[in-house]
Amino acid sequence: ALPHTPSAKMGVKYTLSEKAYVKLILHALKFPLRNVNGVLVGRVVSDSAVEIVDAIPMLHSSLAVTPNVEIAMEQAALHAAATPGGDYTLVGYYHANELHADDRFTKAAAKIADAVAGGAAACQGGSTACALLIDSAKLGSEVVG
Amino acid sequence: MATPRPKTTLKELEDTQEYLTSKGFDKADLPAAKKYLKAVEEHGLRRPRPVFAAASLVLGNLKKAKISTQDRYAAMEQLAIAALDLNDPDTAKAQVAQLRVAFPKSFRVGKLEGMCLEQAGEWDAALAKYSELLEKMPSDQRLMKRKACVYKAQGKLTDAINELTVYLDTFMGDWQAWEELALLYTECAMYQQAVFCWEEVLAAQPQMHYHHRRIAEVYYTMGGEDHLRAARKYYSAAVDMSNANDVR
Repeated sequence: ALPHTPSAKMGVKYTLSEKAYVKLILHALKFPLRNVNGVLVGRVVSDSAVEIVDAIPMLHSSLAVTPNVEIAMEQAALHAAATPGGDYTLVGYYHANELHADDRFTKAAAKIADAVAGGAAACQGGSTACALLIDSAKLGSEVVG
Repeated sequence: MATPRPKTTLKELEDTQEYLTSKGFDKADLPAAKKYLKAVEEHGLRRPRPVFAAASLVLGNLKKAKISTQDRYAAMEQLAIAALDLNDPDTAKAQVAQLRVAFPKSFRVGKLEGMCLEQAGEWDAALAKYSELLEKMPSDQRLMKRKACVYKAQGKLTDAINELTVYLDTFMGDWQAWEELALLYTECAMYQQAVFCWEEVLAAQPQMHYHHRRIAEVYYTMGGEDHLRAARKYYSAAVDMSNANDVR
């Protein structure tokens, strides 16, 4: 089982590519003492299916303040749009807490996720954005040595 | 606590770490390991893996390392703390036990014993330990700050804020504590209070562009014309000071 807890709109299936998954886990592992976050790039395949092809790591500090998040999200959105191969947009947000076994989605994280959802809604007319919270407890136990 | 000016530069520290992790540890380069441990201590950084390796190397080769007794105890303390960070409580407890034998009445060792309890998740026991030690030595800054750490580690941010506020009422000059408090307030979305703390940090360290940048970020987050203007002012100061080295 993948150690993450997707929290998404009911009835929508999200497929996370290996590349996206590995990137977001590595991002969390690189900064074990910090909160990290990033956005997920992909596309809405249908009303009930979203394909996530990539994860773009954003921050490992200053997550509760806005300027860096705003700029990073704009750049990520432009990058997603410029990716060849389809009409990719930001379809989700991932977050990992610094505290072990902390499964709270902080206010700041929720606001950023809302912003991603808002952006997604603007592009697709109906928000199917998802938010992933990395389960740090499972992450700790699955990484050996 | 005012830290004395470090004798090594941050760049030297990073270079030594790079060297040690690529070749130095394999070659058992003791002088480099000793230098690295000193540098990490001076800059107050948290680098569990390299510190663990360097300290183990030095303490495992005491004769060849030609290390002074004081440095040896410092290395043992660093090894204990790194071991706690790497989820190796046995190594940590072994070091702490030896230090306790060497310094039977020490509060610094008491703090390490408390940290071992924290690592095991025994929050109440850790708090009890720190409170007991603080009764004997009410002005021990490290212990007061450790109490705040216990609360932060449990995610009890308001309690951590309260502890730090009480500490800073007495020890107003500890800019690093003000910095930590500012970050806690920001996490709790209490931006006005965070700004107050950042101002204290700036008063202590006006030449660091890093602090100007971070207070600007909080002002920006607060929004509204006045705050955005303040943010712009601090961002300009940060850019002015930083020689465009800071990507943000």
